[in-house]
Amino acid sequence: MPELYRGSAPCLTVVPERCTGCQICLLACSFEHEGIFRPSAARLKVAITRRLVDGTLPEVFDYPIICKQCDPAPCAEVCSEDAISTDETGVVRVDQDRCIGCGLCVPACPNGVMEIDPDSGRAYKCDLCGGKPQCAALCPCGALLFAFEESIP
Amino acid sequence: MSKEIAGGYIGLIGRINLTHNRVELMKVPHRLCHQYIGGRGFVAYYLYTELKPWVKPLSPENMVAIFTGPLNGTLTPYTPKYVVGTLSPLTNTITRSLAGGLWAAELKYAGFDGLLIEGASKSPVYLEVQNGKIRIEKAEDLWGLPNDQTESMLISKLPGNGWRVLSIGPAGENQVPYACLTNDAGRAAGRGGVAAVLGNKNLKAIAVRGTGGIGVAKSQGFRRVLSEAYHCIKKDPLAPSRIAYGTTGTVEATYKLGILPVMNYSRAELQGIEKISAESMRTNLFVHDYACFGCPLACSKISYIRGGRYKGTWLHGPQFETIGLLGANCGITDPEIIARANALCNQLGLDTISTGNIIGFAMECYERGFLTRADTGGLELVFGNGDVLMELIPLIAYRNGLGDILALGTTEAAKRIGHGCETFAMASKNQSFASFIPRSLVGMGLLYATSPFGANHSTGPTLSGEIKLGTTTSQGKPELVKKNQDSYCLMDSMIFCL
Repeated sequence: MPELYRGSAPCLTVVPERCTGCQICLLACSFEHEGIFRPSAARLKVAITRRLVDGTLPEVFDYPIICKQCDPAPCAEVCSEDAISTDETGVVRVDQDRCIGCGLCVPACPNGVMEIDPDSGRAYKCDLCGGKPQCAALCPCGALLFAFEESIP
Repeated sequence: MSKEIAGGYIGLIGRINLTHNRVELMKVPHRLCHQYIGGRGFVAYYLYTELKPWVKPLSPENMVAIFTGPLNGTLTPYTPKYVVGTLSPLTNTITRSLAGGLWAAELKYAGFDGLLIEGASKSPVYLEVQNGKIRIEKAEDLWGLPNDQTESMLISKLPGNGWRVLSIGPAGENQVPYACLTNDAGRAAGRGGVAAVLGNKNLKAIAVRGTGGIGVAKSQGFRRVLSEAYHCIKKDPLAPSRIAYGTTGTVEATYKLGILPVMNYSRAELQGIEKISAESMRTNLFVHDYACFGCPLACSKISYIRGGRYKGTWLHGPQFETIGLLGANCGITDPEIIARANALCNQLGLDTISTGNIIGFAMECYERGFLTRADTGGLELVFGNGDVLMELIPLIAYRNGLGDILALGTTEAAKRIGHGCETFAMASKNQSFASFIPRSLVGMGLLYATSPFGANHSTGPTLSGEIKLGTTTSQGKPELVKKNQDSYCLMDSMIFCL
């Protein structure tokens, strides 16, 4: 069953069993946000397994890990500067001017997709590419979808 | 000449001298990018300019060049591979081999377009490549381990996560001239024996990890071309079957045309061939379709044996060539035996193509009486006997008994066995034929004969072109073979897969 994430409809959705671990989503994300191909700077992650785990088949080999735009958002709750807030479309955003780079939000994120940019020293996260998430646009296997909940195949 | 490289390339090459325990970082000359593109072009440039004519393959003077191309890790479809080249101990010519997986892109993110490895260490070492730095570390505890364990041990001992490991297995350590490099748990740079040269250098593994990025010179144009490319791929009618079956679809296609080798290339018919069809492999073995880095076509397979004698065996593959050589060419049609033999080759670090070819050859020698039970150490080396594969593969990797002779390569082993059995040794320049019978795929025969790497199909595969021309005619084949060898030179330099 697809795992549905909250957000303004349509929403970004993961179908883990379809993932092939190609990591095109990471490349698309970093190219969109940074203008270069840098998977380590992507706003999502891909868990890759290419072998047995403790001698047994894993339930899923590869799967993307995305920001769920949580409500309430644990990253926002721990932020001492009120730099993280949810906008009217349901996207949790980091105000780059307010962020002091303390890093409290990083361990607070239940999915581990909050990061501190080593260059700017500020936190950054998924912003759904302003409504056109590139990870889903380029995902070749339908593991990442940006669609209305009821239309997901 | 002083112009900076605008995009695609990282701009840095790591030169590692294992004799002097020294690492040197060199800038990629701008001129080189224009003249040689990358990948195989760079490999050829460095090997031809730096290797002296008298150098022996298995000596510290030989050099191993590993290069990525300007497109690796950039979202360009079908570009996950690296190219590795060296003076081959199998063919005594400069050879090159490619492998997919995740390693190549990671090397670029770690800050390098390629690595040049020279000299030889006195004791086993591995390389740790991370964010612009290369360290030579002791690897005594890794020496002797199969590829799988080497990778997991390195990953568990290195700090942080995301390490991608390339390693040699026991066959490489024992300098079997067709030992393969393995990366990412089961991708192999199979042909030409590069791992034997690394074994000679006492280099067990190269672990890479990087958080860097790759820039593009003209972002807008690149974006436009990419979106066109992805659009075309989504509409490609052949893509779904390629994803479902990987390369195994070729088994039936070649068998129907009498191209798939059966029993050391002596015939083209095999009872029970349907058991190793793509459909059967998918039903019986495949548990996951995965993609190499940044590739939209997930043609790679993870297989798992669910029951029977080899229950619990897992592997990457088997691919078409492996099914042809370790299967049909040895008279075997049991998918689980092929998978198990493939897993053994992966773990020990042997090229499945050469291994299947030479075991098929040994079987014919035995059936004709040129090898006796005394020679085989009691093994009943007849076509169709899958059990002997499990015995012989480790014997080759560790060079014991008959395995020591078979480890020489098909032509050299034939010379050693004698009785005129060179006449049915299926190899060119000691590089064994791939999974295409040249009798019924004439152009491939010409390719085997003229390729500088010996009978290496990947020098310029002819199958699809020959199907159009007629597989058994020689009409139009010289032109086709030349065209393919030339175009693959370009493909291997940009490093496109397919």
